[in-house]
Amino acid sequence: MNRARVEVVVRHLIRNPVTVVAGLVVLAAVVIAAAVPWLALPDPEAMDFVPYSPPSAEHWFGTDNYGRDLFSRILWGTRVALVVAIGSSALSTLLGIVLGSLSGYHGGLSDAIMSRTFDVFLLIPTFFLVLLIVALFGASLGLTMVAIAMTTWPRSARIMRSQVLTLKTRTYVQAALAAGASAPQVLMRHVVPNGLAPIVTDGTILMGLAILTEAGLSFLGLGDQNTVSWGRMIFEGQRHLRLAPWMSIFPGLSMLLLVGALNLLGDGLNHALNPQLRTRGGAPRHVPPVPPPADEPTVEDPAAPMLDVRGLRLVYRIGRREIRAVDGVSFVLPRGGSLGIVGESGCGKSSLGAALLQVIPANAELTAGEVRFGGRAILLGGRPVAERGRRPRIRDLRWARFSIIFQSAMNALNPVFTVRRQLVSAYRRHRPDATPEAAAARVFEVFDLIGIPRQRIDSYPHELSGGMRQRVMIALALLLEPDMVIADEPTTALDVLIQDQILGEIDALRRRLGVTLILISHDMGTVAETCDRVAVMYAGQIVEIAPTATIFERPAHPYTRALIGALPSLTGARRALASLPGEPFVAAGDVAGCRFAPRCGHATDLCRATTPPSVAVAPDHASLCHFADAMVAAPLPEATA
Amino acid sequence: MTGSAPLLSIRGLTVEFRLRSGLFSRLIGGADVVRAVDGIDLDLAAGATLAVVGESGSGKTTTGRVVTLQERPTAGSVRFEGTEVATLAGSAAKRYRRAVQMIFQNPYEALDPRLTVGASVAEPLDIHAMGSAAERRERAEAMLAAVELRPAAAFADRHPADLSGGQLQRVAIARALVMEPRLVVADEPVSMLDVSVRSGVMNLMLDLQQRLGVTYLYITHDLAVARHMSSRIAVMYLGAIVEEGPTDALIRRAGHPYTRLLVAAVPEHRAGARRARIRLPGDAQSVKAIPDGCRFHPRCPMAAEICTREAPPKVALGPDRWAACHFAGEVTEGGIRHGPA
Repeated sequence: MNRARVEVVVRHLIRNPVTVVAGLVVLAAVVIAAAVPWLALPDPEAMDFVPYSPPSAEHWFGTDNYGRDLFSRILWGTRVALVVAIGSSALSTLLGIVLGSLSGYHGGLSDAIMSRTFDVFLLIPTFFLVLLIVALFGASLGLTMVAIAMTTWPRSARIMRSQVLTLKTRTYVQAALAAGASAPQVLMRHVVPNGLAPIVTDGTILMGLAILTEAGLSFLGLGDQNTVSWGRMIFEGQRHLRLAPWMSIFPGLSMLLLVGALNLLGDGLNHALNPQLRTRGGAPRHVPPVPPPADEPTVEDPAAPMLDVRGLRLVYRIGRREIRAVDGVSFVLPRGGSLGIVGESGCGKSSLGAALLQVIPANAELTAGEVRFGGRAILLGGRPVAERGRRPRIRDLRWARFSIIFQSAMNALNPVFTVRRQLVSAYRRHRPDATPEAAAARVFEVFDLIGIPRQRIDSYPHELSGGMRQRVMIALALLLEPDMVIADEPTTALDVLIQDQILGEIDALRRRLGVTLILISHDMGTVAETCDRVAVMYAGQIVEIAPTATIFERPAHPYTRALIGALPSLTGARRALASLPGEPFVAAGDVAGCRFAPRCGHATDLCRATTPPSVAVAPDHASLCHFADAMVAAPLPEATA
Repeated sequence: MTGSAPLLSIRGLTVEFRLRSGLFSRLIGGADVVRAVDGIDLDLAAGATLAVVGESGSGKTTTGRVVTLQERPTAGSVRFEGTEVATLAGSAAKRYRRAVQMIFQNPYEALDPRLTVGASVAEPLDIHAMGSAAERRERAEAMLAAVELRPAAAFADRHPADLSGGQLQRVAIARALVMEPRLVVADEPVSMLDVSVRSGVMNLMLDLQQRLGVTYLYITHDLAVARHMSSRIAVMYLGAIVEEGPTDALIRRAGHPYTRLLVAAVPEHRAGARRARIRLPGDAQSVKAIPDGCRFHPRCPMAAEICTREAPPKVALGPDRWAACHFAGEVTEGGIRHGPA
C-alpha cells in the first residue's frame, strides 16, 4: 500500500467519529496494559482485612471477597485480555495466511483437501475443542491462546483463500509468472501483500472473540489460575452477586468496552479499506416535483419533437468534489428520428442517458435543465414534473413509452427467474388487466419480431448465448410498444458477428416500428450506420452535432476530427493513425476556456481564455469551437475512400 | 514463408482443459474435456507481426499463453529458433522466458498497485537477477522514456493509481520489452483503451518494432486493428485456424466464408453507407461441442451437405495463403454466395 493510499484510508478513519472513539479505547487499553507495573497501584493479589467494601475514594471499584482492590485487578486484567487477544489472533491469522494462500494459489486437489479441512474445523464447536485441549494439557495462558487460535484460524484461512483466488488471476501476477518468476516469489511479492487488508480487519474482530473465549474459559474455572483475568473475576464475583455486585459488574463492563471497541474498530477499518462500501448504497434522494408550466397543452402534441432537451446538467458529488458529468446538454430529437451519442469513457454519455430517464445513482443530482417528451415537460429546472397530487410524469412514461436497452444483459436480467416470468411480469405490471396468456402472446409477438426462437421463453438467462440474452433485453425494451428507446452500448460486450447482427436488428426494428432511438456508443462506426444524426460528447458537453454524413465528411470540431483520424481503416489506405496527447478533461465547477484546448493541436490563447460559443456551420450542424468555420473547410487526414 | 527458418514454429498444437468439477467427480474421474486449441500450425518470421484474429472462444488467447509457457499443450510442438520449448522446465524455461514476453489485455490490472511504476518495469530484471539495482533502475527508466513516459524518473516513482489507462498500458509494454525479448505476444493490448489513446499505443508498438526489431504475435478480435499492425493474419474459429495469409490479400479476397463475414461486420466509418447484412443461420457455437464436419457449418450461409460430413482440407489460394473451406476457391473469387449449394 503506497503513501497516497494510506492517506486516503487514514482520512476515512478519522472522519468516522465512532471509529476514532473505538480506536482511542483500544489505544488506552494498550497503554494501560503496557504501563500497569509502573503505576502506583495496590498489588492486585494483596488482601485487605476489609472484604466487600463498595466503591469509594480509596477503592474506586471497591474490593472483593478477599479485600483485593478491584480497580487494580481490572487494570492488570487488561494486560491479560490484550495478551490473549493479540497472541491468539496473531497465531490464527498467521496460520490462516499461510494455509489459505497455499490452498488458494495451488488449487486443484490440494486446494480441495485443504478447504474441506477448513470447513471441518469450522464445524467443531469452539468450546468443546478448547475444553478438550485444556483438559488434556492443563490450564495456562499460553495454552489458552493456542486453543483459541485452533478454533479461529480456518476463518482467516478462508478469507485469505478467496483473496488469493481473485488475486492470482490479476494481470500483474500473470505477467510476473510469464517473466519467469517462481510461485513462491509471486506469492510473497504480489499475492499475499495485496490480500492482507481484510485479514487485518478480521484480526481485530478475532481479538474481541479471543477475549470473550478466554473469559468464558475462566468463568468455567478452566483459565490460568495464576493470572488476573476479567473472566476469572466474573467467575469469582458471581458467587457474591448479591453481596458485592461490583465484583462482576466492573470486569463485565471493561470487557464490554474493549470487545465493543475492537469490533467497531474492525468495522471502521473495513469501511476505510474497502472503497466499494463507501460509494455504494444509499437510496436516491427524493427531489420534490414541480407542477407543469401553465401554458402547456393538456394533451400531447403529435407535431412536437419526441424529445426536447435544454441545458441539462448532472453532477456527481464525491466527497467535497463536484463533478459535472453532464454540463449543459441541449438537443432536439424529432419523432421517429435517431441520434447517436458518441464519446470516450468518462465523457458523460451514459450519465446523459440516465439523466434523460431520471434513473440516476444516489450520489448524483440533476441541478439544471428542461426535458420535454412529446411536447410535455418531464423535467424543469432539474426537478421532475408532476401534476398536483400525482406521481412524477416520468414514472408513467418510463418503460411503457420510454425504455432502455442496457449494455450488460447478464446483469439486467434476473438469473433466478425464467425469461417468461420476467417478461410476463414486466408486461403485467404496466398492463394490470392482461392475463398471463395475453402477456405471453405479446412476448411471442416481440420474439418473432426480433428473431428469438419461441421455445427460448422458458430458458434461464444463463442458458442463453450472449447474443440471445441481448435480444431478450431488446424484447424487454420493446414489449410495451414504447415511442422512444435509449440503447446504451447495446452490443459492446458481444462478438463481432453477433454485434453486427444485433445492430442490424435494432436498425430494422426502429424503421419498422417508427421508434425514436438514442444510441449511446464509444464506437463511431456503430453509430454511423444506425443513426440519422450524431452528437459527439467531450467532458460532459455535446461538442458537435450534425447529420451522420456531415460528421464524417465535414467534421467541424477538432475532437471529432481526432476521433475519426484515430480509427484504423479496413479498406482505405494504410496510414499513420492520429493520436491525442494528454488526459480527458473532467469538469469540476465552472470552466473558463475550451475544455478540449489542452489536447488540441489548433488551440490558441483565445481557446484557453474564452469558452467557445456554439457555432452553426450549417443550419443543422453545430460545433463548440472558436474555429468551427475553418475546421469544416479543412481537408480530412484521409480522403474518404 | 520465405527461405529463412521461422523464429517460432507451431505444429499440431492442441490444448485441452478439464472443465471445473468438484472433488467428488474428480475422484471418480469422467470430467468433461474441452478442446480450446485443436491442432493448429503457425510459423512466425523474425521481425514480422502475425495477427491471430478470432472471437471469444476461438482459442487465440490460449495459443498465446502456450507460446509464453503459461499453459502447457496437450499435444503438438512449439519450436523457438528450432528448439522445442513446450516441454521446457526449470532454468531452461526461465531462460526461454527472457526471450519471449507478453503484453496483456487489461491495463488496469497490469501493475501491482503497491509497487511504483519503476519497480514494476524493473521486475523482470529482478527475477532474472540482471545487473545491479542501480543498473536495473537505469534500464527501467530508459524503457519508460522509450514508451514516451517522460520525464521517466518522475514516472518511475509514481504508483499505478495515478496513471491513466493509456499510460498504464505503456508501462506494461515497457515491462515486456525491458529484457529485450525476441518475441512479444500481445493479447488485445488496445481493446480496453479509448479510441484516441488506442492509436497512440498502436503507433508506439510499431515504432518500437522498427527500432528494436522485435517480433509480435498480435492477438485481436478486431480486423481493422490487425490490418494496421500485421503483415500476416491467421483467422481462428473454435480452436482451429480457418484461414491464413498476407494481411491485405486475406482481407481483400478472403477464401473462407467466416473471414468474409468478419470483414463485412466491420462498420465502415462512412456516412449512411448501410451495408446489406447477411443474416446468419445460427448463433455462436461453443468449444464444448465442436460441430462435426466443418466447424463453421451451423453458422455458414453457404453450408452444403458435404460441410456437415467432412472436415474441409486446407485449400491453397496462393504461394503463402490457404483457407480451410470446401468452397475456398469459389469464395475467394466471388465472395459469399447466398443460400446453400
